Amino acid sequence: MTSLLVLPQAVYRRAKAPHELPGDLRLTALEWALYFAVTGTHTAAEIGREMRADEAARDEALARLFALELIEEQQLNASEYVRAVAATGDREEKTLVEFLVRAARPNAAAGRGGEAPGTPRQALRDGASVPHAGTSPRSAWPHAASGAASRLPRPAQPAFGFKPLPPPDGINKENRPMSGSRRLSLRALMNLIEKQAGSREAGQLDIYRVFVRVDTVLLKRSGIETLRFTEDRLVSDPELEQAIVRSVKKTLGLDCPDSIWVDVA
Amino acid sequence: MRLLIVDDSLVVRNAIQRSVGAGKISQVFRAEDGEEAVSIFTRERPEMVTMDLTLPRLDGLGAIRLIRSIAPDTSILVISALNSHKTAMEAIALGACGFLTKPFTPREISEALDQLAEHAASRS
Amino acid sequence: MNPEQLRLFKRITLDYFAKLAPAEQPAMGEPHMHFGEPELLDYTSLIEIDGEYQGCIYLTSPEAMLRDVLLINGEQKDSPEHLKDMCQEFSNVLSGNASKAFGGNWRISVPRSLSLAEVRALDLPASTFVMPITWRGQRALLVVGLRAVREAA
Repeated sequence: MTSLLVLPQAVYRRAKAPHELPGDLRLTALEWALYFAVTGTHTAAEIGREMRADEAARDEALARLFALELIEEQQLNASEYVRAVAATGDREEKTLVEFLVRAARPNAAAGRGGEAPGTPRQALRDGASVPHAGTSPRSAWPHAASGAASRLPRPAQPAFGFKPLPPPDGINKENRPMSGSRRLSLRALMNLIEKQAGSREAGQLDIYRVFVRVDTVLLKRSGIETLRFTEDRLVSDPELEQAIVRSVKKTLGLDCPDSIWVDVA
Repeated sequence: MRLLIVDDSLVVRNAIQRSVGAGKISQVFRAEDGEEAVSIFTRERPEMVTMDLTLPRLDGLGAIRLIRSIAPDTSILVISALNSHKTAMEAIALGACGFLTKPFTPREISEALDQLAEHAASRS
Repeated sequence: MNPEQLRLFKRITLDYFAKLAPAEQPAMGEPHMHFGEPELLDYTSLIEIDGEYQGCIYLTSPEAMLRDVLLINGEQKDSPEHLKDMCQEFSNVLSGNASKAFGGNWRISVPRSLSLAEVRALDLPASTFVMPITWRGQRALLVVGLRAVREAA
């Protein structure tokens, strides 16, 4: 089992969709809340603040979710990383070097209680990207879930009323790679096709006909196994994006307009 | 009076047979496809037939044609999942005296069998 | 496949369950698309279609749902043979209505009733349009699976 040293500036996203969770998975209320809260856009510190969770409890919960492979860390580019560090709320003045280097250390950035000497810390490898957070073996987790994954319907929702932080521009950026470019919004595309078709049913059939022509290998590569007609996803794989655009043209004779792309920072 | 039940579904054959009213029908024969139905009919000459339409080997409409050519007075009730006016009209045109769509409730089949028996009695 | 054809299959499926137990109406959930290994339950009523598109339409149901249908039909036995037989009845419904829904340019296969192992052995279309149906607390799936044969040719 992989364990994790949680950094307040780290950004996490779900590694498993709710419907993929083992039916016998047991998590604490805070863990469930965090599982549903991670969006791939907000830092651990931001989410923790929103939930008014104690830092240690937050980190413990995130670490366990990570160990159970329910969440994974979002890789950030330089600007996203700097934004994430800023979001930790550290008010201490620093030089650029201190800011970049010390930000990678949880104690310096979040001002939380000291880690035991020798705890591995994330190293900022270069100025462009921060890959995976440092890992360290950690002793038994208090509620480790059974590996036997009998799949059952959705697990219980968090016990308390937590709403995930809204994405900045109203679009769910879950799973989006955070490199600066444009991404095909499946929701915008599906809305467009439905509008053109004139009725919801006809639109859904048209959308399906478009996807019949798209190689399922490409879809699965992007983690798209099930797609609801109201679902909000951004396509990050250029090959998949091209396949969809081609299929829209072939199936419906439609050139995809600018409106179905969104800019990602 | 005797009844031939023609349906490729064991469950449906059983359901129809269970609904046969005591006293009205003395003997029940069963067939799984149109060919077997015609064969049993030729041998036993029952007065009443319930006929499914989607059948292996010889379909229900084909079987009705052959049965009616052997014994034009036979009372035939079509029981089918094909819920279409056109199919029903076709069956009636071939001489079926009733049409019941699947799935049916116990009450529906019971009433339909009663009517079939009355129809057969009026012809005998 | 056009919206009218899709509506017809939805309606006949809902009517079928509604007629079985008028007091317990079936509900159709929000449809979705599924890609890759098809979503399959214990028994599947299937017809294949071939025309403008090649593919199939099937209702895949959990065993418990078919057991309920057997009971409604007064059948106490629920052996695999009985369950499959009940499943075949629905295939016949699909088949009969498919003939009506698709014009002369389409070929409709003989309706089939398949166990999970049997249906898994088939090469079903990988991209499917899935309509969940809930009846008596059980969930079945009415599925349309198409392949773009014209383009492949």
